[in-house]
Amino acid sequence: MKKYISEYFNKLSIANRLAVMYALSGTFVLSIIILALYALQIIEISRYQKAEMKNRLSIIEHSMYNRKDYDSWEKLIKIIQDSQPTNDEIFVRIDSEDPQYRLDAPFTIAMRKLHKRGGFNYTKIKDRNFRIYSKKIPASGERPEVILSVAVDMHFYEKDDLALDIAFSVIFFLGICAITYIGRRIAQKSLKPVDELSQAVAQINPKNLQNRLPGNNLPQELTGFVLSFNDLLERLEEEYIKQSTFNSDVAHELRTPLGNMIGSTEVALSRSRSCAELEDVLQSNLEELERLRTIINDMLFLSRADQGELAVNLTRTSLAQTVRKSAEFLDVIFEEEEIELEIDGDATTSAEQSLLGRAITNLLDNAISHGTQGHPIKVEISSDENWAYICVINHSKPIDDNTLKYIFNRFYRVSKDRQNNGVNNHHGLGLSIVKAIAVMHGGNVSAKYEDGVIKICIALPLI
Amino acid sequence: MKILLVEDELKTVEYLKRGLTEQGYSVDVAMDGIDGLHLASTGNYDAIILDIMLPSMDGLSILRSLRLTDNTPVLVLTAKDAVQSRLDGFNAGADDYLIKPFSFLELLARLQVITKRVRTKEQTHIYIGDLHIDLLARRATRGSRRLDLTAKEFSLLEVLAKRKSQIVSRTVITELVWDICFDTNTNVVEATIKRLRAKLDGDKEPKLLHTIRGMGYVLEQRE
Repeated sequence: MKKYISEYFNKLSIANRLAVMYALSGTFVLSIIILALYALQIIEISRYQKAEMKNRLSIIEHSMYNRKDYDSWEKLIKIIQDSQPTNDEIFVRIDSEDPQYRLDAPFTIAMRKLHKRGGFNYTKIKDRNFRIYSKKIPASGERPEVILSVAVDMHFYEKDDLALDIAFSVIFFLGICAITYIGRRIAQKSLKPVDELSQAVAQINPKNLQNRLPGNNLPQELTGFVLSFNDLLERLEEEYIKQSTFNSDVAHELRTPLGNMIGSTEVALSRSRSCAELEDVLQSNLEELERLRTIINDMLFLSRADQGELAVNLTRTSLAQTVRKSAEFLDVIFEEEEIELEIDGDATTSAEQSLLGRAITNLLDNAISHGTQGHPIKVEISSDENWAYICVINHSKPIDDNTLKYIFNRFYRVSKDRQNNGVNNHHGLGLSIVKAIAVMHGGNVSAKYEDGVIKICIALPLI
Repeated sequence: MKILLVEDELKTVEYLKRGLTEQGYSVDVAMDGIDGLHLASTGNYDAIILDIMLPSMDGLSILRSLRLTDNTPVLVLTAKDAVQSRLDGFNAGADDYLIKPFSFLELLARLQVITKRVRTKEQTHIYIGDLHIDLLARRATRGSRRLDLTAKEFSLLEVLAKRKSQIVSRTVITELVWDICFDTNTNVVEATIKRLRAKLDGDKEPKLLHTIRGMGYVLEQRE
């Protein structure tokens, strides 16, 4: 049952939930108010009744003082009897030792004791409940001491007043309805911004990712949400643009060698050629194909890293030694470009050597192709508590922060020049691969330009 | 030397069969898994080239069934280079693997390794034309001219000389000379070859070091 209710409740809209909660709390509060009113009313009636009883009693009491003989007493009794209402709702009783001075049936002994105490008491006479107010009147002249009582039927409190009950119920019911309705309206009105937001969100699609949710005139509770949502949109937009430019870049990178091959093959076949000429075409095609293969392999590598593949063949590796090995490999290039290399510091951590070597080779190669003749390339290896850092520092043309932000992006080239420069086989994936390798080791990369030098660092966790 | 090629892609089959035949192998072809397993277990092959993605029965299942009775060297061809698929191949009993797209030279090199066709006999002197390489003294002379080579240039010459008349790819050179087994998009090999060539082939001497565009380099005496 409880489960059923909570399931039902969870299906309700927020406006309806609030309406239900308003109704429940309204019922509770109204019940308390009505009960309090009821109690107050009873207390008030009772107070009024008591005052009335005291009044009556004191009127009779006063007239008693002047009647000192039996005759005058009898006359008084006559007056009292005449003034008694016929419906027995209120009547006066007088009790005395002397039966002559009694009014109405004699009191039982128990009741007499009750009356002697004086004040207000309750009793049952002929199955009816009465409130009795009694007072001792001292003897005076011939008249002995008497006890004067006024009794009032309590039926008023007991009788079910159907009309009143109905009135209360109707008020109660209408009250609850009003609270529920108003509550629902309030909730709907307050939730209107949420509706508007959801409409705005519904209209977002990949084509208008640059749109943002309206952030003004919003209740405080929603501003935070809208801000985070807009942040999310911004990240998505960035990623989306990156992905779609990546796709077009891929297509472009693949199209160029493909175009070359199709073209040169068509030219070669358009007339009869010597064996040597054909051989030349085949060789040129093979070079283009090799380029395609490299791009595809690198992209597959990057996509595997994107999918969370981690470095597995971890061995204890001296970073300086890995750098020296890559430097030894690139030695010829360093010599030809007349660039010196300085390696400083060392740290040891677990890494997959071939991957790390590839990253460092890419970094050095990148530094050589963007460095300046005569300015040495520096590799600084350092570590702190948790990280080992390999930083490659080279002299460079000024690079603004905006460019720096993108240098790890795929196919990003600082020079905006997508042409293959012939000498190098760079296709703009080198630094993305560096980043991917760092990430595969649980690390990261960073780039900073300062005072004419660019510093690109790999951070690897010390494990 | 008999080779079984289990591969369903027609163009791949065509060029591999032609290339391998020209290299002196006799090649049988199976175009689907069941035929492949049948031939592999009945024929007597020196090596099997096995594609993983095959109709009717995949390469790994063939390999597992085959390995119950047979130890023929198997070179696995795969289109996936995720670590897991490589491990799967080795666990099933592959001797080596190649990731598509692969170069034919690389396939030949791997094939030679798994069939142990590479001469393991240690040579100490290699002669190519008037080039004499002394591997012990690590000295090379062309005619009477002593070649002044750096350590890496000598290693490169050694790698090429030991594979006299064979095309040696850039990848193989990078691996053997610098012990680097990952793709680098650098022109280190080209640059080193250029330097070696300058020292090796004088202006008036016949050229020994030849570039095969797109494939690699050959050290041989040509008429």
